[in-house]
Amino acid sequence: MYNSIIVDYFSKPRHSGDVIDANRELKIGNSVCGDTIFMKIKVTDGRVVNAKYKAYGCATSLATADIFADYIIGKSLAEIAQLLAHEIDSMLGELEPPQMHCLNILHDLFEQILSEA
Amino acid sequence: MLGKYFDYNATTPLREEVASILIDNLLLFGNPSSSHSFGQFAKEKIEEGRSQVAALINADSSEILFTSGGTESINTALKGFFFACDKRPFHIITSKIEHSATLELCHYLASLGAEITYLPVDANGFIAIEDLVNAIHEHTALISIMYANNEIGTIQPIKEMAKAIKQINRDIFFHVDAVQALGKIPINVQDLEVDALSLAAHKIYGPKGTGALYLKKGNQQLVQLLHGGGQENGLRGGTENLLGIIGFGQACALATEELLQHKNNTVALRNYFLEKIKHAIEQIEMNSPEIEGDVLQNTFNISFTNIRAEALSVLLSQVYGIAVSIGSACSAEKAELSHVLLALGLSEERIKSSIRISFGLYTDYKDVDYLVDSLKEAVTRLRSILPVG
Repeated sequence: MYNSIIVDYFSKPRHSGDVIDANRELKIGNSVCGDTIFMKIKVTDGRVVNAKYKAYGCATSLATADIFADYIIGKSLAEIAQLLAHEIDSMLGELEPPQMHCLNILHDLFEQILSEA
Repeated sequence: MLGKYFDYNATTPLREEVASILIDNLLLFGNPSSSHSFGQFAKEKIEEGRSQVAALINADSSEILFTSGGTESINTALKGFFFACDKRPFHIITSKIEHSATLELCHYLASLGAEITYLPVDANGFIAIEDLVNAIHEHTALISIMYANNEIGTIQPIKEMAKAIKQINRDIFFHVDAVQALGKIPINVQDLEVDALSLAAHKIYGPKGTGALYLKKGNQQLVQLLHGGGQENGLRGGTENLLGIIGFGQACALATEELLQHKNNTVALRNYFLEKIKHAIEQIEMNSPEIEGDVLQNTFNISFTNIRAEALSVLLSQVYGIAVSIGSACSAEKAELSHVLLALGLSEERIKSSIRISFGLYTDYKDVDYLVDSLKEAVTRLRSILPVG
């Protein structure tokens, strides 16, 4: 029901919390299922140096926030912009139909970080 | 392992004593319909199982019909009566908190022209007898009510309902879904005066794939679901599930012996758990009735404010190895909320934050300690990452 990537990031989150000196903030809110992610990011010289989140939602959406943060930390915004849609899709592994909305959340997070760049 | 299992209302583990009987009879192969000694020996085993099931509900053996489980029993009773009865228009009364087997079946019968009334329940899940009585009219032919609810544990006043129904019209067929009640509370069909009662083996530590339908003597004019070789008094064709019936019988025999002791143990464990969890975790709401009497003492439905139950159950399962169940499914298109909790009038948020915990034969005090400690840690963790504002 939950693939090993989701189980791993949900059970052992690496990036939940707050970034005191954040200079970027991403917000996700799904009005239907209520999934909410507030992500704070510190970008220095066009590179993500820190990212942490607070979130409410299902296990897969919490894992999605963690997977996103894990991916962007240490990368430049230019590198992130190179990502192709199918590469983003594969980050969450194979999802069941009720979990598919988390792909939208993940794409939304990538769009937001790049649109604010 | 079993100490981390808190989902006994979903299904129960096979009891060792039942497993042992199954192993002893594994090589039994005679067809109970055969007249030779192999067949007759198998037939004897089936009749022994039938008496054991009958004894648990104080029925006569001849009133027990074996099926493949609760769903088939409910289908046999409701569809069987609908097709056997030439009364049209045909009105059915049931409740909003029935098992999906009953609700889906009622939707199907509605598509064939039946009129269905779904009775509401109060905040504790009880159907008012007055509502039941008021719903009965000249076309009412069938009433089906769940004895004990699987999600919140509410036990309906079946005896009083039967009395009220029969006072109005003795011909109304009264079926009771007793799948969740069996083995947890005493059931005495002589006292209840119901026409039919559905039962399942896997809820009382028996094997899956076996159930039974109690049919009161004189009420056996149903159209069978499975036409075939005339087994089960012509009411269910198909060679009997010999091992399943042997196991079901043994599970019932053990339940008959231990029911009261088990019930008392569960009451003590319930009080211990409730006191402990209320002290350990803030902002929780009980959705199952907090009364001593008419509620299954093993069943708890609890909402944890600001927690998504789905996430909590995954955390409990993946990190702590704990099994519970939840009242809503995650979906992007629509919230799939428990129809039982909706019928109680609970908000969407409260339903989404609810989990069901159900204790059983193998739950002990240290398991409850572990459950509460794990719940506390998991809830604290999920609440610690809640977005503010």
